[in-house]
Amino acid sequence: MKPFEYATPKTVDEALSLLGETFDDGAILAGGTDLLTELKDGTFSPSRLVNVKRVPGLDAIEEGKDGTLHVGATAKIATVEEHASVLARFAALAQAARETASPQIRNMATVAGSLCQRPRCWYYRSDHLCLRKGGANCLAVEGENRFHAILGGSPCYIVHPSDVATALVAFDAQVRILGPQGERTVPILPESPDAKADPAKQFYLLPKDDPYRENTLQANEIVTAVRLPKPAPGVKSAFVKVRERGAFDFSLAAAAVAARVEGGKVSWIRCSLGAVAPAPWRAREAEAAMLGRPITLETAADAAEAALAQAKPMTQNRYKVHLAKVVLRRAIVAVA
Amino acid sequence: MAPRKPTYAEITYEIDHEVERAIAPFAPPEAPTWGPDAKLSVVGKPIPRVDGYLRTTGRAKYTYDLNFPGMVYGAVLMSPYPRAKGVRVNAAAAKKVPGVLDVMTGADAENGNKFGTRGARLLTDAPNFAGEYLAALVAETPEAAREGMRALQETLEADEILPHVVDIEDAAKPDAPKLDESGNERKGDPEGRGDVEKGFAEAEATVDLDLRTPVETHACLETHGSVASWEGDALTVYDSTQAVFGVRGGLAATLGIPENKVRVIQHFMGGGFGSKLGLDRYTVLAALFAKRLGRPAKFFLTRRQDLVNSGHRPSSIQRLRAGAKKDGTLTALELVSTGPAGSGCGRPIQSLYACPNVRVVHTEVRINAGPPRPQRAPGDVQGATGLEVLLDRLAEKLGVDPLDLRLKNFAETDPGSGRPYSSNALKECYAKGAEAFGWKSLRAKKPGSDPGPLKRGVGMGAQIWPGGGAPNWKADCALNPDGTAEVRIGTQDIGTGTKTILCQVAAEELGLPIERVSITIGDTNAPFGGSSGGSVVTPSSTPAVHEAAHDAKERLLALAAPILGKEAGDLEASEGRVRAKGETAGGMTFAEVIRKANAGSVVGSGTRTLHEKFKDFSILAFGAQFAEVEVDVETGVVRVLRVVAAHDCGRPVNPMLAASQVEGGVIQGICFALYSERIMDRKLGDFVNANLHDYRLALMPDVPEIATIFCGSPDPIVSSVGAKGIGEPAVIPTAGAIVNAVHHATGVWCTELPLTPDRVLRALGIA
Repeated sequence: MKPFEYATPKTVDEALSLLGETFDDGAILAGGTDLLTELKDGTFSPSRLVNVKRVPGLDAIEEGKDGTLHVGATAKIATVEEHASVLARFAALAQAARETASPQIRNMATVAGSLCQRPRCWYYRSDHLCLRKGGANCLAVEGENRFHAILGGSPCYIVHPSDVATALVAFDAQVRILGPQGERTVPILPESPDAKADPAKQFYLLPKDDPYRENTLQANEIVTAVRLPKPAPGVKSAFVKVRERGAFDFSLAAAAVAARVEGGKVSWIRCSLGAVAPAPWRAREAEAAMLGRPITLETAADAAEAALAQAKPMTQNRYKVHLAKVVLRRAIVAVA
Repeated sequence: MAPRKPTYAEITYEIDHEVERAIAPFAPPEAPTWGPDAKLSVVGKPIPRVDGYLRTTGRAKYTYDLNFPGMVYGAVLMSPYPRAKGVRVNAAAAKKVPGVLDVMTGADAENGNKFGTRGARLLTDAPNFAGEYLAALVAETPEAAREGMRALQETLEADEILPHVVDIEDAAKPDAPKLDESGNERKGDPEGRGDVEKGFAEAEATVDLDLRTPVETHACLETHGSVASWEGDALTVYDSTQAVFGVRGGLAATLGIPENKVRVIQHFMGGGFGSKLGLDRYTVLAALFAKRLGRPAKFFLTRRQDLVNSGHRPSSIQRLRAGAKKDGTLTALELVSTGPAGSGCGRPIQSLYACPNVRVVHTEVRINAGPPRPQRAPGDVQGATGLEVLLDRLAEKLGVDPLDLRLKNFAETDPGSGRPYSSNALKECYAKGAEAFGWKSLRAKKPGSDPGPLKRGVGMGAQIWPGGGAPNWKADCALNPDGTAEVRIGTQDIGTGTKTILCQVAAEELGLPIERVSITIGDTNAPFGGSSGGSVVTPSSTPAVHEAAHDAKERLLALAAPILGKEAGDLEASEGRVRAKGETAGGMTFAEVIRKANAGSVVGSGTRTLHEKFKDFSILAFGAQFAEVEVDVETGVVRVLRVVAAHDCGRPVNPMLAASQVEGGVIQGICFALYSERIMDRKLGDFVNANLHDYRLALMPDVPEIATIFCGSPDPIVSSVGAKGIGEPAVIPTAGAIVNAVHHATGVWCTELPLTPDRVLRALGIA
């Protein structure tokens, strides 16, 4: 581990002033459950750590007058998991939080940390120079890729590890970011899948837009909160995850669904998939397939088929296409 | 106390498939044999670990925890190349890192770069797998050592990067790089008995099975490492080891110093599982650097290094075949297996069942993936998994209950050697295990017939394993002036509870409360005890300690006789007092005897001698396990719900600790069945999941309810204590039982381990 400076600002503005032009100049330390492993592995060696755990109010979870839920950047995953408003109105988020890591990690890990964690890809985490670290190729393509991307991969085939992010997509969440130029609030994913990548209009990025970063956060910016708009009356949500082990494990595939059923038919729906793509993945084809139809095993299965129709499995991960369909179908059925 | 005159004769015995030879003393035990009806008050009781408080409160100092004033911290540079020649580093680059004190390469190792006595090098410039030791350094802090290692890594150069191969099947291809002049494959001679062709010709039903098992690594919680310090020409090494005497001998030979100048100590152990059975390179490096710098040196591998280069259970590709009569009587068994070095797994098929015709042919294949080490029941975990799944396929084909098929082919005598068993409660294990599990009714269900995606099933497996231990282990037992007792024995407690059971044995024999007995173990300053491997510790150490305690007691009674005015033969020791036989009051305390006699202390000694009929019997540990699983056939996720483990280990000296051994074995069996595998990138030749997140072990939520049942009775031949081994037996049957249960749940055979969702879905024909 390279020596580094350690700073504990008391305000967000002070934190911002401690960041630099590049990520190597300063890294934000919240729960540290991901950052510390990166420091120890030597995959990332910033010259300064900016500990934001002591910034008052940054961990607040508050309901706005308009019903919007603000989840502070440093709110613990364990807090989200048990928060009354989250449980009452954003069940899929509470479920995703509960299925994240282990109790010990959830007691340390934060919401913004979950969103900003780096990939778990074993090539990225190794000493080998992979594409994401500036190498020529994604080593997973001809290598060991059983856990890698089946959607949105090229040219780097990581999957985004955050279950919380998967759930947030289903709630049209927005990410609040503070930088030297002030605040910007961006949707977690772009409004339109075909839009050109725009830091002003989205949080997550795909490798085709930037193979080195998973999101639009700049080195001199900080995530301050996640904003969840008030769900329409009657919206129900669910999160389903498959993992190898019963104990803490990242998802092999995960799905979050939020939907409103009126008169026996789906009138509004959001479907998202986790651990299938380099960013949380909105399954728009599934949404289109469900709109106006009742939720049954069959309609849900059709929607799941539609969502994965464009999947491009690698040499060892064809099973993930099937798993993604299963979790999505189960999540849709769960909101009936 | 009359000196015995044992007769000496050569015997062979087995430790983890290594056949050892010894001249063993044969003599009736001096200490009383504790038969099935012996009235014992300490032995056989579930006494908590004597070091449990220290261990659970974090006060126990493991080797990893030791830090001495002035200590330097080591780091090893391991090869990133799977195969190369002329690898060099620039030591100056590491020395520039603040805190780095010294760098060593093979060219400047003081002992001529030797490792052990078989011509191996300590540090290499021609690595044969990614993970070989290239260079080492020490620094003022562990952090500086790691930075120095990174600096050294950046200067790596090789004259030639050679083509490599890390996959068994790739290595067999014609275009594979030849790792040996004679080729990569080495086919072994057939083993077995009878005439397999004839046996299959006589069969009325035959079944075939292809089964694969992965490379499993030991993944010890305490990584491999040592602390070394010199005082003049005397070296003391604290080592995370399963063999203090083995390390001492290896170190003395490697360094060219006398054994009486080397002391090896292991007080607490964070797991070994067979990967810490002898001298390792980091220990030599610690000793060499400690000498160079005149400061204590600590070398511990990083987690990644520990997984990459401390051995593994080799993989296996097994083609199995069984033939039987319609009534289930086996007529032939065959195993054709392939794997890397050390991967033979033919013992279970040759010895578990009564079958007249058995053939095993094994081919070893050279690859650039590092040498194996014994891992808890080496060979038998793989072999028993293949065999037990084969038996279930045969049961399916014949339409019989798998348990009935096993009973049908129960071996009344050891099919390999033809000798009778000293004791064998396998039938009792089958019966009691099945009864406690509810086997008959659960098994009656047709495989795969549960409605819905969550399907439950049950399966079973059985095992045998050498249980007789090794001869010549020694112990002594000192009685102090205050009447307390100290046992000393140079084996070690690797976390299994050896300290506790040996204190129990001494306390029982001396008639002392266990609180008055302490033990020195894991120290070469104690009398010789062997390595903690091969499940030999309990059968080898308990008789030595029993005899030492008995000898001490006899000597104490002899001292007390003139004081009490009685014959020593009329005295006995109980409740910490010496009394006339049969009396419940009076007499003298041990302390009074020793003080009045002005004896200073009383020291008894003991050796593990062998029963005169030891060679006439097969002394084995037996067991049967029953597992219930739930399979989500849509996701391929398997969960183990319940395991009943019935084992015959003779007398469990401490049933609570023996059950703890069984639970640990079952958990490791679950890891092997469902989770753990080394994943190698073929192109890079590298172990990509060498961390404890991507290399999965079962954690508490994955651990089912485990019920342990001990069957049988004290073995009359093994020793005066009657205890056979249990450490390895417990892990052998689990994976087979799980694979069989998954078949019962789903109706499909998933025979490529571990049963991860991708493999289960593939077996189900889904993905």
